[in-house]
Order: sequence, then structure tokens, then C-alpha cells
Amino acid sequence: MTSEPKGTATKQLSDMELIRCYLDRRRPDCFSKLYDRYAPKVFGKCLALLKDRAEAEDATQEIFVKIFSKLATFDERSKFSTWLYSITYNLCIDRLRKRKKERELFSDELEQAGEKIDEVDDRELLEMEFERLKEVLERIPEGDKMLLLMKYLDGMQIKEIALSLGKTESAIKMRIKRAKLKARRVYDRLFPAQA
Amino acid sequence: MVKNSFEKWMEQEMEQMPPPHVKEKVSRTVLLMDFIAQVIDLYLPRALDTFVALSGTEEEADTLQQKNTDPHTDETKHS
Repeated sequence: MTSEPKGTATKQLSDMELIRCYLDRRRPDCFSKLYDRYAPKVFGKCLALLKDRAEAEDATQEIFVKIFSKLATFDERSKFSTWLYSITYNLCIDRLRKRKKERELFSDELEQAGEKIDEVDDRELLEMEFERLKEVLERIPEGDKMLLLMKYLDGMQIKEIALSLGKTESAIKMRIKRAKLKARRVYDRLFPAQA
Repeated sequence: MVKNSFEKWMEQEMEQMPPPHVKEKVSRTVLLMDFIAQVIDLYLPRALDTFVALSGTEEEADTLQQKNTDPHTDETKHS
């Protein structure tokens, strides 16, 4: 029968404490706690991007196997959640690339060259009624959705997003700008302002 | 802390525990990978030594042959 380390029975262990506990002794309860803490979030992201329950389950399994097998290499330069979500998003995008051409995953590929891109205020998205946001997110390209989730759901910095996706910061900034514009255009089409 | 629309959407629409079989498969796969790694750590040094002995230089092979020469067995004698 496993038990919490002494003195921590009522304290929730941090991610790093759980990781060290698992790596030191391979304790099943440490594995279980870390998995239970993040599985809903990882599964939620996979569902949001892959839109297929069976595939989302498969992807979640693959992500956690990857994480636990590479746990010893996690170097704490970023938060554990940032590392986990980077792997999640990259795996989802890889799966989507098998279904769709790269140019269909991000709206910047679909825009006309030379088109002026209006700046969309973050508040327009962050304060949107969530039922309406749900409708909008259903209708934008998956790559755009992923970028908006990384920035507004996970709070990742541009630098972190660029590093995760292997792109330059300027490329990510432009893609996020286009993703926000796409979201606003879809919103305006679905919910035209009353006269 | 006030949640933004993305956080509300994710929590209410998407976030959910995957079915139990996902956790079971992860656990089994990770245990299996750990086991294989331990077996490799245990036996690889010995396996490597054997491999080097088998595919070593002519000098090493001669040395090996001398060591293994059995006076009762003609096959091992070589002039």
C-alpha cells in the first residue's frame, strides 16, 4: 500500500515533487497523481483539435507515454505544463497534417497576398461569450485554433510558442494576428451587429 | 481569479477525464519500457564483451584460440 511522503499527507504535491517522486522510486501513486492532474486538459486539447473522440484517446495515450518515458530529460527550464502542452500541440498538428495539407491548417495561407491585416484587440476574444466563442472556434482552421489556445488558454509567450513549433517569433506573431482576424470575421458573419 | 472565455470554453466543453483504458495502457507501456531499459542496462555490457571477443582482431582471435585450445580435441589445433 503506497502512501504520501511524510509531512505531505494533506499538502498537494507540486509537479516537480511528483516528477522527482516518480523518477526516484517509480511509485505508481506519483504516476497516477500526475496523470490525473493533466489528463483532462490534454484530452480536452486533443478533442478540440482532432474533433474525433477515438483519435483524441489515442493521441492522449501517445502523449503520456512520450512524457513519462522522457521525464528524466525534463530540465525545468520551462514549466512542466508548458512542456507537456507543447508536446500535445505538436502531436496533434502532426496528426492533422496527415489529414490535411499544411496550407489548410492556418488561415495565413488562405489570405490574399498584400492584404492589410487589421489588429484585433485581445479583449474582443477574451471577453466573448463562451457559447459564441465555441461557434467561432468550430469554424476556424485547426492551426489558428491551436495558436489561440496556446496564447489565450495556456498563457504561453510568443517566444515559447515559437520554440514549441520550431518557427521564428515574427512568423508566430503574424500567424496569431491572422488567426485573431479570422476569428473576428467568422464572429461577424455568425453574429452580425444589430443595426 | 476571473476566467477568460477560452478557459470557460475549455472547462465546460472539452476538459474531461479520458476513459480508464487510456491510463491503463499508458501505465503498462511505461512499465514495459522501464523493464526493457533495465534488462538492457543489466546485460548489454556482457553482451558487448562477448561481441568484441567474437569479432575481435586476428591477434585477439589467436589469443582466444590459444585460450580455448583443448588438447583432447583435434579441431582446435591449428598450425
